[in-house]
Amino acid sequence: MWALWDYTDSHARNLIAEWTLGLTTVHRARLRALLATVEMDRENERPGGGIFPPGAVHGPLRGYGKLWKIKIQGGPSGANERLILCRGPFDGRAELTLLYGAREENRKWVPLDALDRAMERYNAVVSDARRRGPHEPIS
Amino acid sequence: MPEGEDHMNRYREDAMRDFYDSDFRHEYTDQFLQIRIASQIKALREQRGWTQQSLAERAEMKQSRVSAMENVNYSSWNVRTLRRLARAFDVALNVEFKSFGARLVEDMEPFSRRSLEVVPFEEDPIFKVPPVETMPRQVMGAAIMNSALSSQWSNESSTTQVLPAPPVPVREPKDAKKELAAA
Repeated sequence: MWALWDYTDSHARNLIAEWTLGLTTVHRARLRALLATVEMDRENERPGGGIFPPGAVHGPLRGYGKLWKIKIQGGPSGANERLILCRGPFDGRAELTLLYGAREENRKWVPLDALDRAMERYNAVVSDARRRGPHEPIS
Repeated sequence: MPEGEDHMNRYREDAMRDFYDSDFRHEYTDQFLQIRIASQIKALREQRGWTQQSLAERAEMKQSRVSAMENVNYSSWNVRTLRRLARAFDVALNVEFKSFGARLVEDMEPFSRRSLEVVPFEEDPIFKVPPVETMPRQVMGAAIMNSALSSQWSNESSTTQVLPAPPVPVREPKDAKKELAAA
């Protein structure tokens, strides 16, 4: 099973939980189902195993080898919500850290520097393990 | 309480609260369905040691379509397509409507590649019994039940004591014929 973690700021505010509050019900429900199955997955306990279910987590992203993304289908609104995450960073076979929520429109990130911001958060967690907390279920 | 069980209970409780929202419960279960179908197609294919191309040829479709269907974000399959895949895998397809409560309980079962695997007909323990024509119907029924129970027991975890399967009263075909004649 994967342990999920959420990025927090220096005041221990869970920025992932705050981001999900701005999502539509459709996106929240779909993200919740995706994270639930990824978390229940035991593929990581198999030698050479990756992340199951297939296609739930894409990556590593080009030019950002530490980052992966979850695509959240849009429903009627059609917005292409994405959740940027990383394996680890402390145990790449047992934990996933959710870093930054963004969008992809016409193959461009919104905001444009979404991946850079996610990398900043990744580095913050690597430097200080307190910059993340246990994942809060999305509702 | 085991870690996994505690985790399932937490998710079930959270999901139950949100299921009072109609959009949430429909989208959540739709996404779970997509996840389950994509994952099972991949699990069944790999269980058989097939490539996507090999499955595509057996199901008479393009490899790119198999690839798309093995992605949890794909939702454009239809029952006809799933039937073709079922025939290629030589397994039964089961499509049914359910209450959200029943669905939620199923979705919270441990999710793994192993739990999605299904044996093809030729490896199905239910059918590893003598051919039908050599035994009367009631004996065939007992043999099938016995085979199913044996299979179920042998699939339990290694920590579970495996009980011996009860003997099946298989009679000689001659006796069976006499019995039928007497009836």
